[in-house]
Amino acid sequence: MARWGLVIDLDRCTACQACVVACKHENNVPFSTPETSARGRLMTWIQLVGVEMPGGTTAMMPMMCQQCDRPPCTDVCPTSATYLNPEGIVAQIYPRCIGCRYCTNACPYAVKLFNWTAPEWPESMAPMRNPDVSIRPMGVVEKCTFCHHRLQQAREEARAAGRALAAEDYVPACVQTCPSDAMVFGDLDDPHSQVAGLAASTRAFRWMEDLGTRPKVVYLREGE
Amino acid sequence: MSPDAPDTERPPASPRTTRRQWWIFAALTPAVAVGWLLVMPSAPVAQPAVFNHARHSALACVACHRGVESRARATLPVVSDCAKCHATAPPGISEDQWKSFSGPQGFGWVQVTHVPDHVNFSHRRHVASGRLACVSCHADVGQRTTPPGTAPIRVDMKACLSCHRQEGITEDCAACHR
Amino acid sequence: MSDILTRRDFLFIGGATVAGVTLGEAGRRLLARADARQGALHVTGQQRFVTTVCRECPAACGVRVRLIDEVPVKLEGNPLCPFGRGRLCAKGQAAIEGYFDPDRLVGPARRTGKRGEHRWEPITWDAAIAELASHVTAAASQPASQTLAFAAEEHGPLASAWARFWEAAGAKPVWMHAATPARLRRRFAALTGVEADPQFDLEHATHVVSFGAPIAEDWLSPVWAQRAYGRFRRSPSRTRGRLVQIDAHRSITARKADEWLAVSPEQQVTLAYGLASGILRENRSDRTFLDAFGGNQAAFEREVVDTYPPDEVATATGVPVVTVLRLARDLAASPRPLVLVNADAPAGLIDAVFALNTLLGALDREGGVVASPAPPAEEPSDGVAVLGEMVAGTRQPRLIALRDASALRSLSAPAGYKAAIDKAEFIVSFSPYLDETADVADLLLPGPTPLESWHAVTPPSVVRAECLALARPAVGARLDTRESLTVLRSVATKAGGAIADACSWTSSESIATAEMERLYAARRGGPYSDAHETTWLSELERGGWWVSATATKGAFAQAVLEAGGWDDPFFAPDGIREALKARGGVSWPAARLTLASGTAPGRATADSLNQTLVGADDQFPLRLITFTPATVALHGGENNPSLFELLGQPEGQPWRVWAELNPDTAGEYGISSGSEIRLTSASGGSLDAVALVVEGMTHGAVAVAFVPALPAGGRWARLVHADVRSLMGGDGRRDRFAVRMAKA
Repeated sequence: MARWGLVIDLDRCTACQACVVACKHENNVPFSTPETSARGRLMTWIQLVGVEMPGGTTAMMPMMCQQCDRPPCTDVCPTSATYLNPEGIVAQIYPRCIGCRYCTNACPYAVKLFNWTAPEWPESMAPMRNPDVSIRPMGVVEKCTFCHHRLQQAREEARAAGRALAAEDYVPACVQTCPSDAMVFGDLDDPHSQVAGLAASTRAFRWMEDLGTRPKVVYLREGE
Repeated sequence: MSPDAPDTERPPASPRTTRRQWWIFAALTPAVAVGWLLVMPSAPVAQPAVFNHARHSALACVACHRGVESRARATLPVVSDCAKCHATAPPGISEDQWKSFSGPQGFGWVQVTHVPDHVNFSHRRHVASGRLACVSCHADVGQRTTPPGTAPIRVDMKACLSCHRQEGITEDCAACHR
Repeated sequence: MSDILTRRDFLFIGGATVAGVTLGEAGRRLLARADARQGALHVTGQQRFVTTVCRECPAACGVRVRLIDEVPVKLEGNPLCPFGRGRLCAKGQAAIEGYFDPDRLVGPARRTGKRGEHRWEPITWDAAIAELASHVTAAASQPASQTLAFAAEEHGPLASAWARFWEAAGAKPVWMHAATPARLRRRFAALTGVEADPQFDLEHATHVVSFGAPIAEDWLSPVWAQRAYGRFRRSPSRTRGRLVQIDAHRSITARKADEWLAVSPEQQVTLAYGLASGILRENRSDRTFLDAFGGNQAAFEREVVDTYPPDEVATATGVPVVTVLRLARDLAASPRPLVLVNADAPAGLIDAVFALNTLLGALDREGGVVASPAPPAEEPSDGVAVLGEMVAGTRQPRLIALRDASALRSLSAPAGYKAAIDKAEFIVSFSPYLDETADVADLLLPGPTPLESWHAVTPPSVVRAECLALARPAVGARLDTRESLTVLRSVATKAGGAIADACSWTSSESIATAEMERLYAARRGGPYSDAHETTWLSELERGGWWVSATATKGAFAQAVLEAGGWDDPFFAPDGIREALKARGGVSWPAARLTLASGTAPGRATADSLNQTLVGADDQFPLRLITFTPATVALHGGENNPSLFELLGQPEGQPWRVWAELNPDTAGEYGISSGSEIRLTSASGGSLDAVALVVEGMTHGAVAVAFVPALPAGGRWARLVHADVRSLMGGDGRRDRFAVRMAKA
């Protein structure tokens, strides 16, 4: 079984934030207002964050759920609403979630978001929502799923066509739009995949890996 | 009837008794209402047109419910589907009705079997890949003489899981929940 | 009595049961009905992709629209687009929000109250066209330039048609400024004599010094630029490209660069010649190239070396001597060095950059500057200059037509312009939104949004091909809108005469169809194709072959529209070297400038005419630098809520306007990152922003993101209150303002 992973080459990344908008539309993440943002309730599954790197420089890293192999968030979930699925995706099952927010506190990356209010779209914008992704109700926690619905569809397409799932069949929306080709997605367990090769690069690092979370989002540092 | 209405055979009801009776009324009404909701099967909805599935049993389900083998959602028939065989309004439907059904609003069938929004269900996955028969989830709809007002089978997670278990299909939550 | 069931008890219990059952049954039916209504929105979930063109900036990248039951749900890049190659930037991704915008104009309307009172009455298209026709006919009988027609700068058959109509009506078509390579062409022609757009081969360069080129933001063709940047940085079997960014503030490109030098906009030209001087002093220029094409190089060399001694350059720019010399050496030592410049830069800086590239032998080579193969588009008249004339009173148009562009929006100080525009007798807006300029219009004739429109646009020339982006509407019109060209056709029919003769079209569709017939007859190029197919086509053409992929004219048009455009990959080597040989080498620019003031021959626009600092004194001690964040569109964009969220990111200040300060300057005021500050300018305006302390930022300056507040722009635009333009006077100069700062 595949173990999905994402490599982000910070040297190629131009911090353009196209991934942020692509994710918002793909996953029906609601828009914010200055008030909700000021209260720290901005909903965005992927966000560009400035991070102090060794040597005093600041790297701008696209930060989403790091899809840890040892996720701290799943250990604290009282209802098993969040768990590590067999393909390495940290899933969040909304109908099971009771909104206790233990996981948002346990996550060292602060990428699990709580729905303080029911999401709203202006009436004219409601048809724009992606029917492949459910609308999360008030009071549940949501997060990046590596566009898991795209995997389901790709798998179904492949099966209908009578072939095996190919690497290019399944890419998350952020990877699909990345203008500088900074993001590469694929199966980390496949030694021939591009991600596996890049993840073994000398430039590769995993964010806060000293916590033992073993993320499957791998960054490639800038510089020589 | 008013509890304070005069009674000729008995002494006037004391205020204590009256309050007790009101309490009974106040507690019993919602209890019966909730009980009714729980015990009774879901109410049938009215369908816009008469349709006899049984009479059309020579046709495959997919003839009118297109997309079953190729898409996530199956369609409910439109007039152009009927028009393949029926040149004019079929028996039981007036010409005026037929004309309005041909408009942009279509028949306006009410979908009775459906899964909640947070479930990622695909007909193609179950019918084309999984080789599941329509009757597994839609039971005897094909033999009925009237259009269904309620879901013939309650499709809930228990039903999904029992089949998934039996057939050794994935039980990963994220495989079906989205 | 209480222990037996009385008659009354019995009646109460019975009544309660009946009431309960009635309620329960009502609830049950209600639930059943509510339950059955679910999932009505996307009924069959049928998915389809159609091609269209992104119109958020002039780059015109290819777009694939995901339609579910014919409703657009998501935009993706068109993989066949030769410069976008299946990718989209943040603005392109957000474009779909404009189509669904709840504050779009629903149909034609006429103003009833005074201008700015927001009182409108709906009218029919026939009445609207009649009204416009009467005004156009009246204005056409007046001397020329009585009418101005503003539009966002673009090229191609549709833009030409718009211009043709207005010229026939005796009007002056004016284009709101876009930073495309066409802007660099005049300086490039002055140097080389080649009349073509210069292209920068960033992808294959090994060492790049960029003078303010916003590579990571919106340089020339943003998706192409970012793709080239990614490959320049990391490509298999190549060493990593090195980038030095020279920018007045810490732009995103500056943050991504290996080295960032904060140099004020006026002094950048000094630094550029300083680098040239460094290269020449140490005899590191590309001798082989210069011997062949150097022309009168000795004179230029003498002038540069004499005028720009490194120590003086260091004093003027604030960059240490060692750094200037190191930059020059690094450039010359790299195998394929390249110097980049922003298309907005003053002419003097562009000249200096092209001269540097010549010294480095970077003309006509891989990873250098090459001439575009496409025939150059006409450089359109500059809207900012025309507006400047209006403010000065030398031009007073009677009729103003506005399309796509919000003329006021892109300018620094709306107040002065607003007054000038207000003098016009009649203003008509074709914008789909009630934007800042449409707000003062007399007649609103809303056009369709890009998803609902025909497209025939010539993109800026950035790849080795001649391209034309062509597409039909991706979806039907959501509201009662009409394409501006269709409206103009109706107006022309009513007006008759020369105007009717100039309008040879019936609609945008007819123009696009005619264009495709022309392309088919030209027997070259073909529909957009993938990279392998494009290479194959270009090899064929090199061999003198042209194979049509389609048999008939109709099939050709169909194939082009499905692919999203037509392109003719270019195979022949460039003509720069040949042209230079023919004219005896390059014509070097005049490098003799006054070091102290850094005055360079500026582009003749209101932007750069006056280079002195306005109001700098003890009262207003800080220099104001403004910059446009990549997610702020100069034209439109105010209807995309997701872009507002990206303001102030990645500083963690979404929706906010931020101001960048040097740590020393911040220290003097006791300000730290995240402090709320207020800036006040000599013109009396003030602005609240959030401070951001930036190491390496110019001393005594404050850099503020150019975010205009657009109360008319819709529900999201109304939420942004800080307006950078309030700091500026009414004369349209963006930079060179002095401000005073205080904690808010």
